[in-house]
Amino acid sequence: MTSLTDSQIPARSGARNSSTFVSVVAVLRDVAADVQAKVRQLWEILHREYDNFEIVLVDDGSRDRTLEQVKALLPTHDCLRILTLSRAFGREPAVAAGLDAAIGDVVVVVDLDTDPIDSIPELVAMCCNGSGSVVGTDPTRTGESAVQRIGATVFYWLAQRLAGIDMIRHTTGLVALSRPALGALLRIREQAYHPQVFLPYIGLELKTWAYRPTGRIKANRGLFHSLDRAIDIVVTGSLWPLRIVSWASVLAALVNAIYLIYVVLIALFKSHVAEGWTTTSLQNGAMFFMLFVVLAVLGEYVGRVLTESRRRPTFVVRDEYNSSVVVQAEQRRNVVNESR
Amino acid sequence: MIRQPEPAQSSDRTQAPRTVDVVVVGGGFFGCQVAALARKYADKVVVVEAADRLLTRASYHNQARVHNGYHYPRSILTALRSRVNFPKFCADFGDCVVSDFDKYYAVAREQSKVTASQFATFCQRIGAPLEPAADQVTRWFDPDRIEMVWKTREYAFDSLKLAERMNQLLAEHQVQVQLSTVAKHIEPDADGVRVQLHHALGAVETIRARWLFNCTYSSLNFVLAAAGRPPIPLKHEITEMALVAVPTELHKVGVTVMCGPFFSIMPFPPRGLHSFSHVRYTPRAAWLERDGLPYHTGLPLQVADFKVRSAFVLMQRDAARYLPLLRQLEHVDSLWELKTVLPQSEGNDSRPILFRPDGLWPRLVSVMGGKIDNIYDLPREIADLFADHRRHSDDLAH
Ligand SMILES: Cc1cc2nc3c(=O)[nH]c(=O)nc-3n(C[C@H](O)[C@H](O)[C@H](O)COP(=O)(O)OP(=O)(O)OC[C@H]3O[C@@H](n4cnc5c(N)ncnc54)[C@H](O)[C@@H]3O)c2cc1C
Repeated sequence: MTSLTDSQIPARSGARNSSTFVSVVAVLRDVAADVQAKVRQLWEILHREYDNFEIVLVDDGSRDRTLEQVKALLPTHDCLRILTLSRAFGREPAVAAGLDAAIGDVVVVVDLDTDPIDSIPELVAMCCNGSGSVVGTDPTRTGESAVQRIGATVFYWLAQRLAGIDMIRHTTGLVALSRPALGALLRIREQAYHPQVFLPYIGLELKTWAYRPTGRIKANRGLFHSLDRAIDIVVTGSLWPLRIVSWASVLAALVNAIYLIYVVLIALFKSHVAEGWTTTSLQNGAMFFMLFVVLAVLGEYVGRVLTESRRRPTFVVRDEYNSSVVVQAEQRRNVVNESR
Repeated sequence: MIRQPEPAQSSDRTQAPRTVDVVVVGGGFFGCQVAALARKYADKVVVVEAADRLLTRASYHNQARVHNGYHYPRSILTALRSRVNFPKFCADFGDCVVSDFDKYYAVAREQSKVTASQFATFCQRIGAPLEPAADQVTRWFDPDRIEMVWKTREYAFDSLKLAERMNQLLAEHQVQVQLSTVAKHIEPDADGVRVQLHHALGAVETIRARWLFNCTYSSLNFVLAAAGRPPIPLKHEITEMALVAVPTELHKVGVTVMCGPFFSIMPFPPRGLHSFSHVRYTPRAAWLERDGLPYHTGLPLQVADFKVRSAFVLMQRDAARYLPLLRQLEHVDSLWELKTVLPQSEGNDSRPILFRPDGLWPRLVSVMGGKIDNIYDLPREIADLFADHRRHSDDLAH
């Protein structure tokens, strides 16, 4: 964008948007092979469309040459920022780190591997009109197994009906956030970053944008991972499991009380009490079952309370690198030539 | 005393070269100081300045902060030195120092290289005054991003007034000032140097001097190259500082957020505006000059050579996240300059003064001060230099 590099820059389409500052956040993890080409492509699109933009790349503890590859772009591409995390924290914390650092009026989180980056201007335009946000969804759940799809349907139904979690379905991780929405999102200083849950909770104007990713989205990789996230979302989104368990314990206690009365009455009015082993063990079994369920759920929430109250950082930024577009050798020689 | 450029016809070929004791190349704050100090040891001192006034380059294009230590939590020696120089500078240049504003330092929560408690401890150690800011001031800042805000004591200098003072100083010391004149070709000879001076109007004059002080800051290596000497390792950065009009609350206020990719905004007295710099966006391109790397040997770079597109919008968007009042800034102008630092002092923020007689021609001395108040190390260096020389020539005489 500097005049010094204008010569190498492809011609701009006439209508550049100069009023909106756009930040694009992308998380990188072991993508050395094609990251340069993808970042270049992204940079070209943004450069064509916007007067003011930045690309915030978050390196989530890559072990290959990803960081070197993107750092090599710094001298030739302005408006690039690279954050490196101190280790691999996972996608959600890495996105949170990027959102925290981004300075744009609209911040778009993309996955360079699967999201259609040419649609960024469309998303930005959708979000610019208001103070809201746009969430990308993939109703077809590209590339997922039947088990995962059924699991997802069941999960959404349960979450909606039982837990009352108002959630955007089939999200891909692609989001565009206006500054007010981002501000509200960052203020929810919880450990987990789940925009599909928090954005409806925040309640600013919210749109969805359905598309087909070019591959299977990373956020939903693997059944176990999905289950893990499902639990996380339920625990983050509601106190419902705790409530259910509380009611069940009240019920169990009531049954217990009736049973006690029953035992007392029997003892009073029956002379020969040689009662069955069955009832005792049934009752024992039922009670222990209850107990463990209660413990499990409590454990989950206690764990949550602990992490929240410790206020450990969700991510740790180790370094930040910024574009330093160097004065081109030719141009420097020009200056030299003038003196003779 | 001030000589304006002469018309082209007075060619030097007709007369024997003028001889002086000391030529100071560069009429910035440091060049003027060096010239005045050199008068103690030399009769004829000439300052040669490329621009048509004194103090127009880095000495004008800077944040005008009179450092009082706060800025260097990672280099306690530099901080202590600043603490010592601060009262001296305020006393010596009182009429050039502006102190009628409140200066706040804030520490950011994320990405900061110091925490609030570390910063407080640091200030205590260097004895710099620090008190928690009033509630109404703290409320300006986003509590999610700023951990703590303090009121401090730090002032700004008015570089136009400093230039005025330097004019007086040089007149008092009977130093000759030659404006609109570029020192281009330098030839060391047995007892000093010959310097070719190119006046703006086209005249070329060669003068002989026994000493040459190279006080050209970002052009140090240009002058060395003109003398056929290898460059000093230097790092140059193209920098932009925005000049802004601030909302009324901030009229008499300066704010610096420590210590990482943050910003600083404070009064810029010569323009009646505020200067606004950002650690991430103020430096643009950077390059290294040292032997073996191709480096700039043409004309000293002028501002127009390196001015690029303003990054004010980026500075503002970022800074307003910490201090929302800054959304109301109005961008009036930008100051562009080449910032030159010694590569060794990059990491730790220390800004030592460079005072370096050339290895082969010890009468060719390069001087660079990383900040304005660094002048207090100069008298000693210059005294030693001339004393060494006298001892040396006495030895030769015996
Ligand atoms: C962005 C920025 C912010 C800064 N902020 C602060 C701050 O807040 N506080 C602080 O104390 N310091 C600050 N500094 C540092 C301070 O500006 C410098 O340390 C100081 O101005 C250097 O003075 P000087 O006389 O060496 O250089 P200059 O003022 O640049 O003087 C050099 C002179 O040499 C002349 N010249 C060059 N080549 C030739 C030639 N061949 N012939 C004749 N003349 C020539 C130039 O025209 C120029 O006038 C800052 C610097 C920058 C760039």
